[in-house]
Amino acid sequence: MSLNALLEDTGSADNGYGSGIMDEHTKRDIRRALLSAVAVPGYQVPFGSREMPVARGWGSGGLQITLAIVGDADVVKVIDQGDDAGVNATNLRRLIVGSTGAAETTVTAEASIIQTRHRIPEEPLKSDQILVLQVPVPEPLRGVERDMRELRRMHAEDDYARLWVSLYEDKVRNGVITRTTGYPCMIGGRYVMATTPIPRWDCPKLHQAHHLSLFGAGREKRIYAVPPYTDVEPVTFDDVPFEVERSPGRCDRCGAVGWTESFLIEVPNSRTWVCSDTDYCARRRLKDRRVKA
Amino acid sequence: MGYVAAKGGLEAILAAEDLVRRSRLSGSSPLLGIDQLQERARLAVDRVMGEAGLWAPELAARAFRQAEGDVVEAAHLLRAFRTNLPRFAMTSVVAADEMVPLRRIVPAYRTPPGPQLLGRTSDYTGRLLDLSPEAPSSELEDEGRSSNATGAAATNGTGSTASGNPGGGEGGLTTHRRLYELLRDLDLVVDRRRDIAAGDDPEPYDITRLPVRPGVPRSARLAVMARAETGALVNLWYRNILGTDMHLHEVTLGEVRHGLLPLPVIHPHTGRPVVVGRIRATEAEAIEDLSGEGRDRSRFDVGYGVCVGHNERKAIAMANLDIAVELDAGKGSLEQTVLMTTDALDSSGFLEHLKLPHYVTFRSMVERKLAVREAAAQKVGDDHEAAPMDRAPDAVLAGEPA
Amino acid sequence: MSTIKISTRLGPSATHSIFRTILKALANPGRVLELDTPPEFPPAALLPLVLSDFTCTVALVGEGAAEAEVWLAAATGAIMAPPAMADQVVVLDPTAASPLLIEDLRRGTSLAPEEGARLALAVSELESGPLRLRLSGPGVRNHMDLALAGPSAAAFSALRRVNAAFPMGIDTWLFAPDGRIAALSRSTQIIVEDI
Repeated sequence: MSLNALLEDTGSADNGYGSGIMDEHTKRDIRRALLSAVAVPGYQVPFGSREMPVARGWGSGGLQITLAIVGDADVVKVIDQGDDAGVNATNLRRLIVGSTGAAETTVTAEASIIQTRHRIPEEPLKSDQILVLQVPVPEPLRGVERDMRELRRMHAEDDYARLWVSLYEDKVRNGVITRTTGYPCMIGGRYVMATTPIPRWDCPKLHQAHHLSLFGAGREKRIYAVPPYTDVEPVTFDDVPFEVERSPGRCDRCGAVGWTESFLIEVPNSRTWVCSDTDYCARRRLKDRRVKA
Repeated sequence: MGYVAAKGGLEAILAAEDLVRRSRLSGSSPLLGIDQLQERARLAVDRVMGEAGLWAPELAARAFRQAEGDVVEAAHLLRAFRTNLPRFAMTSVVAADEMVPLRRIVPAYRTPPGPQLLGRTSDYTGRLLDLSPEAPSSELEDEGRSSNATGAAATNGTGSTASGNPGGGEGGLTTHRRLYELLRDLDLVVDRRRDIAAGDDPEPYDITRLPVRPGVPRSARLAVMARAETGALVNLWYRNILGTDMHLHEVTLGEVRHGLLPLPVIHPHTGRPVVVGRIRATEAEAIEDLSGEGRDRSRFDVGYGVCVGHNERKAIAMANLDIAVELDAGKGSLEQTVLMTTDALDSSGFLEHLKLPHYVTFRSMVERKLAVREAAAQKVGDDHEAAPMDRAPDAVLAGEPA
Repeated sequence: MSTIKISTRLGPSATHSIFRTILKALANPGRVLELDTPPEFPPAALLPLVLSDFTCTVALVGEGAAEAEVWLAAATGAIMAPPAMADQVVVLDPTAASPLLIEDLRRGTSLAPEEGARLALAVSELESGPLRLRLSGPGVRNHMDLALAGPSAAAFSALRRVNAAFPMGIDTWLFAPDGRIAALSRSTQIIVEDI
């Protein structure tokens, strides 16, 4: 039986438990966790993560959130590394659209729900959009502490001293802070949160954003959130400015400037750069053509 | 554009799926029947059920076939299937004493109460690859009728007390007292029985609906191990024997049983329990010497393991780890390790996700490498007597660039 | 029996749409949204109706609580509990929202703030009325004013006290009879003005 056939099978069954790949009871469970997450920005809410028809580590947390919030009126966009056509994005999109009544799009501005792995779209999101981020490692302090009971205490007591020390040591030893993606950020002045492995470039997009961001870690069974208009401050020192990745080039396709406009990825050994956000890139090219015509 | 790795979109995925499906269905030999897998690959099917946490032999065989023999993948298929099934009822708690043994050994005593029942095992058979032609099944059936091979598997003088023919199915519905009871009678075990009369009998922790983390009740720990990956439990046990963790001493096994457990459900109309079916399960008791500080050296403590299907390695490893966590009592990290690292879907899923595109994160990492280099160059430029940079990799800050 | 029947059990689609409004309200404290509520139905009871199941405890307070308990339990499987122990507390009657009741609700712990209660509070008016709440905090751009009528100013002062020890606290949704809804997160700073 192919996946599509399976989805059709379960999708048509109206047995009072809803349809598709998530039952109504599970949805309620996840919805309650989502509300707790929104109420306590940056706090990792434990939830009864279910097995999904994707491997844990392949976006099962993001998928569970999306399935718990998506409805017939929604338009869903799924990206991986900023790309709608990535294999994982494609697979998740077909699971979501195939098992719910939602429509799909690749256009950032048209989407009501955007599920993403590793990127936030370049185009600022609006207040009626929800961003769902797939999280592999929700714990921002695991680099300095492994014991889960101690980690829980540290968050509960607002005790982030060891994180500060580690950043200080890093700076002294290496001249720069070497944390790359998933940079730890202080949310609402209270909780240190892992920003999934989005590049540092994307962190400022979470700060005082118009949209709601929901983070799902399926394997580690945690959900957390950043509501709109919430402070998201990268953890750094007053005299060590937070640095984002800036690319010394322009997108080969749309001309976006890697220093100020777009997160670019490099074509190795060619000094050629392209946008990682494919929709952003396509839209810029479209606009260009319109302007020239 | 040749760069974007692993990009292919829907058509490529569909083509890959088609390739898998066609290769699985084609070939010169006949397709494997579900019945064949259940009969001839019993232990693989049992393992799928055990790691999925679902008794469903036919579905497990189907999943095993679909997964081309990949047990973890089959367990994933089965669990993802199960997770969306409605729960019509909960079974009442079943006392493991109600198990009808198909196999039972008690290493701790030569003549325990009840039989030493070898049952279906190749434990005592030389591991010789059998190259002789396989006998047609009809001959085997004849043989079975005349000598009653299963009934003859009880040993040790007490074998005659193995009432009836446990291997023969419903005929031998006999249960036996377990060794734990005997040790209790002899006042040789620490008694951790709950005061049920005082209401101290909590519902088992449902790990399918609640997340686990260190500090959860023992029932959660047992449930996690019952559906953990067999290899993960065996390895964790062994590294506690030979590795540097050293949580375990020489453990003696009390019971090792494989048998049938009834599933009683309260009838919604009559309010009385009705047995709606039986499942096969394996259970083990691990008797541990209490050598730790503040422990009662005049008694033993007992760890418990149980899992769906016939999987003795898993039940035994589980029983050992259960008591090891109890003895560790939060001093070390064993509880966290057991709870968080033994699930096949978790570990395999995370490992396999490394195959997904990571070019955005990798670009970010490359950028930091260049930034470190630039900072070092600047420092050399700024400072004539520049000391060599300490470039030791900083494990603390490595984090998880997943 | 009341006119409300067990058939008030909502389908997945209605449940979803109400949940999304509840989520949006909490993500944007003070923002007034509209719910499509069934007639003859106390809107505040929608919160447990769409969120709870047999794993949840719910308390109902105020006029009509006794009968609402019956159908709510039947529709969701939720277990009825005293307000101080409940996951979700519904105050059906604005005057029943006493400071004492609010201070009694579960606030969670710093280790488990998610154990704080969710409060569904009936108000008689939203966007008009003698009470004005000046709100700020996560989800609020700068600050905003929310006018309402029904509960006493003391009730909101109590809420403010309860939520002073963030992350512990309770999250509140205000339900007006016309289906309008707004939320106050435990992270929301409240200044109460009684005009």
